[in-house]
Amino acid sequence: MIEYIYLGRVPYDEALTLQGELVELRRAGRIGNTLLLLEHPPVLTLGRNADRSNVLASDAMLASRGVTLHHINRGGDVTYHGPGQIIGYPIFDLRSMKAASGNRLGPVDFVRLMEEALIRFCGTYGVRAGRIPGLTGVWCGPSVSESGLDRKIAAIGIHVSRGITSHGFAFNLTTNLSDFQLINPCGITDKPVTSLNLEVSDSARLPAFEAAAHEAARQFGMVFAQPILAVESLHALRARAAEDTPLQIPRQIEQLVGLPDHPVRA
Amino acid sequence: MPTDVVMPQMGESIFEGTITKWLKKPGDAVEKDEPLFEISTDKVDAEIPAPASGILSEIKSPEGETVTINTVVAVIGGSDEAAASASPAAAVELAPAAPMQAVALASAAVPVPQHQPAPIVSDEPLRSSPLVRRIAREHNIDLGHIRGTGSAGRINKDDILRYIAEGPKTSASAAKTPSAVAPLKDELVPMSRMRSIIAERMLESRRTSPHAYSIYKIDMTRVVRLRERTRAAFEQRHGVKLTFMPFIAAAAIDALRQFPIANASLEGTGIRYHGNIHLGIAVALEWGLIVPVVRQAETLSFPALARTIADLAERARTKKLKPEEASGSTFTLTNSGVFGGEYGTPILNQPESAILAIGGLKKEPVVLTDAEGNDTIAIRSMQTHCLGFDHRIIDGADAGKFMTAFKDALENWNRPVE
Repeated sequence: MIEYIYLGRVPYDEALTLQGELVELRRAGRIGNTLLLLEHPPVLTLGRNADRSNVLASDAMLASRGVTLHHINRGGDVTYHGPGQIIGYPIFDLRSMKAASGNRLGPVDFVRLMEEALIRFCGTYGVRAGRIPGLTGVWCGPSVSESGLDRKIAAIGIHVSRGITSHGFAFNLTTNLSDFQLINPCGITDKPVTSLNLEVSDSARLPAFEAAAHEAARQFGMVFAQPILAVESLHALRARAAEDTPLQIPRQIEQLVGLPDHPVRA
Repeated sequence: MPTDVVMPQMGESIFEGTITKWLKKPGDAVEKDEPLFEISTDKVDAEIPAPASGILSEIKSPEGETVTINTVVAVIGGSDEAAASASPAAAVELAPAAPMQAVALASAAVPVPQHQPAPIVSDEPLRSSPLVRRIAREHNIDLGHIRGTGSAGRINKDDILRYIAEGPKTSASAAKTPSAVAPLKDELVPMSRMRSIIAERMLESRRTSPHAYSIYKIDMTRVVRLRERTRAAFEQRHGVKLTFMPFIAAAAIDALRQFPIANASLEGTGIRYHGNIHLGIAVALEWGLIVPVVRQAETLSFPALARTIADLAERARTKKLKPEEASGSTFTLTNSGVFGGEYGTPILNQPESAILAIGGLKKEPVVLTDAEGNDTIAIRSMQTHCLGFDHRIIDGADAGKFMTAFKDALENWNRPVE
């Protein structure tokens, strides 16, 4: 089962701290696989494999535009987050899931599943998207063949620690793409970035931000083949993480005893 | 014993990985599951945990090196020879992905063991590596038959190869040495996640509340007979089996109404008397335990109570409960009777202040006194219930009064059952 919370706009630091907290709770097994869906104010993040030269603007320029810079421990190069971009942070325990083949789900398999969910998400709005082997993320283009895909609509970068994932995806819904000019996104210089509002055939099909977030959650549930439930707030999630559970009654014992005057059966 | 640290497989079609950073150097102590090195690939940055505790004795693959999966990249607890410290290397380009070479090891013709010893039963998932599982598949071996010598019983490549080579000989060699009996080894099995949660919660509950218990033996004969008479009609009319649970739940609600202290929680320096009675009914599942909650139980009619309890239990077993249905109880019922014993002494489901353990229902000889004062012995259905309570806010007297009301409700049951 996957639980998800829509958090609205959250500053980047706050979201980082929150992820840290939830990763620990997930590791301790006090929460299940949890997906955070939110939006960030303008920010640039540099991952493990980042090259500072891929940030094209100077620090002064960034400061004047109100864009902050963060170095973080996710995989991938540099990317931009901002209003109109759906951010998803799945805090999942990879050991709780299996690949379709029955083997353990590795981190890269997990990334492929995330891409799948976002590809289907695009499909919901009539937009064709796909993958480019070797370039993680979700791509749109004039045709769905590899050579036809040339615009990136979603970026992905995750961190795994002791089986628990953090960070995740950034999907451009109505992002202001001019802000991407501050960087070479993911170090890629020859393929542009796009967003869903530019890809839908009819602007009536474009969803509102929150509705889109719920749809993205739904697609996660489908692709990971698990029920997906909305949790109304962090408070509710934390309260339940502190739950207690009393004695257990193994069913085998019930069958073993098998008294006709069976006392109570819940 | 030295433990090999291997390059893990990051995805099903990924056959190699690049080490980007060693988090420990040779000579450092490492704890099992502590992040040991980092791999970065394809937008994934993963910290790989140490497979065992010990001193990191050797790093075989330095930072920047790309190795095939299952290659030994380091050794924990090896011999104390001076190991070369990992020197940071310049970033190496990723070699084109190559099919796993290790398969060649298993290609030599090895006969399938004819005699397989009894499977080793264990609750924990069998630990082995992809390579070992591949060898097992090719030779039609059930990994449950192999005892692993790695950490936590992990099955190494050596274990399975040895098993393949020695399998048929096991019984013969055992017969040759009947006299020498080696002492048995202990086995340290790591706790499952569910188990460690339960362990933590139980301890926390006990630490928070001073537990005291009030035990009452209740004559259930009247309820038993009533149930026998009405169960068929009830099941027909309401679609659920009539068990003893709704009777007990209804009696508990009655008693909670009269003595609301048992439906309260300690909050800071105050006692919160809950407006409603949200009755938690503990249900055991194969994969753990859960307490679905009958909300506002005091407003439900008897059939509604029976239906709700049955529905919650069913949905708990089929994993269809909503999260809000398994939390927020103000009083819990738990069934200790199934084990066949007299009663159980339960641990409080925090932040509740009382929990009722239902005991085993048994036919017993009981002394009955009639109106004139004559004593006789009759056979009655007796059930012993145990109320666990938080002695910070509930005293023995309160508990006794509560249980008396509860007992009264059951022994003199007079409400209709439809």
